Amino acid sequence: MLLSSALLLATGFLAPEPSQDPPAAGPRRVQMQTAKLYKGPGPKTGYVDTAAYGEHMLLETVQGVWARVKRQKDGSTVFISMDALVLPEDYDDAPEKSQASADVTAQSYKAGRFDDTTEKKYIEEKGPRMQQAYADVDRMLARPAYKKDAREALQRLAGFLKDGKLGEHAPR
Amino acid sequence: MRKAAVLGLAIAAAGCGSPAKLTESQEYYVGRGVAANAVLQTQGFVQHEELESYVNLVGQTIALESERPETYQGYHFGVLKSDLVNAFCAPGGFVFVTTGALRKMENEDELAGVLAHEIAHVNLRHPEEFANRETQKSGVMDILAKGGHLAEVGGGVASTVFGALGKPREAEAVAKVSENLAKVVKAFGGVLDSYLQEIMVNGYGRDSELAADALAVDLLTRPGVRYDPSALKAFVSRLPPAKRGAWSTHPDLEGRGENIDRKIKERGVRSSVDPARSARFKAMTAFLGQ
Repeated sequence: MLLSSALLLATGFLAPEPSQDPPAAGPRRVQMQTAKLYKGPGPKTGYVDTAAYGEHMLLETVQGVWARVKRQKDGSTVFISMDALVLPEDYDDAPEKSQASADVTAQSYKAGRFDDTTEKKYIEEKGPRMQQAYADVDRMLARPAYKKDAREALQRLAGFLKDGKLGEHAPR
Repeated sequence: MRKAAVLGLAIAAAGCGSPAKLTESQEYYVGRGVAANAVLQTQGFVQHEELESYVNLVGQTIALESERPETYQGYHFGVLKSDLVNAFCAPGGFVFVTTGALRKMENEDELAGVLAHEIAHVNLRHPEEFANRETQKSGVMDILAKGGHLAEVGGGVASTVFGALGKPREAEAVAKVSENLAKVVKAFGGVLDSYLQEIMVNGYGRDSELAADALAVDLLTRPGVRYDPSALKAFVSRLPPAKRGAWSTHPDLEGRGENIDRKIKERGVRSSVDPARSARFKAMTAFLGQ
């Protein structure tokens, strides 16, 4: 059961010393902020992806300062540095958890950051005009010009550079 | 025991040594807030998809060749309806230019120069540094750095999370969370207010502005870009002093043109404004009038 697993919080800016006494192997639930994931224990093994804040993974084993984790979203097994992991106080002997407790966790983390919860509360306090302004920003970000479709963007950019005699098309 | 020690290490790491900083995702939310407030201070976005797409292409051409080609949610270049001649950037890669500024420009290379200047600020992390400084001043960085409740309640909340403390302590933790949320929202608003009052009016300071000009010249002349960097100087020089203060962030920059010239000489790259680029700029901005 996921809620019965221990929580690990990886932070980008909060970097404790690596634990000299790593947790035992076995399924664990990991909650992390943005962190790089690699094929093996170390950057030289190859970068795979960057995990998003809040992404859940199962901790499988620990190899030195590297943790092997299984991503819940696609089942892939990757490695992440243990440096960024913070273990809750009662990591190993956590009892069965209630849904209410899990909600507290989610709310707690969300209440302590500049994020969508903070933004929502800020908009609520500022009123309808601010709500409209944020809606305009969201509409702007949703337009094709702002979409992060790398392939399409690069294709459009290639034509743009050629037409404008920019980059490699610039006269020498 | 060892778990408590690890948690202690985490808190100690956040509480001493180099100051905690906002993560890129948090900077992004500050950027969104600046954007929303900028909408309120102007007449909103121009609502012209072709022009926005065009400005984005000019901006992306430069950003992709920079040392910071990608931000947390990518660069976003927006056009705001305002007669003020202004351009500015916000944390997370938001870059804005006003219709007033576009009307003052004569060609695409001048637009590229202005956007390159703002992208340079983003590369130099000036918006993020400002947001971090203001957040530090607000006194909530500890809350932000420690995931909210951990800073205040510590092991108590960890225990609550795991159901060991029972309902009374859980209620206490929830109350603390609400209290922290109020503090964080207040700080968030304060950071946005400061940004709007200081950066959009006064800029990042002379040294940072000159540094952004110098990097802009560098970016404009990179092999993958090749805009004419002298267009940046041409645009700045054309602005009357009062208006120069209103690209507002760039006040009092005597010697700015010389600084740009010097950098162009250093780069040793000669480019010129291409008629094809000028034509498409005029076609895109014609509807704005003079």
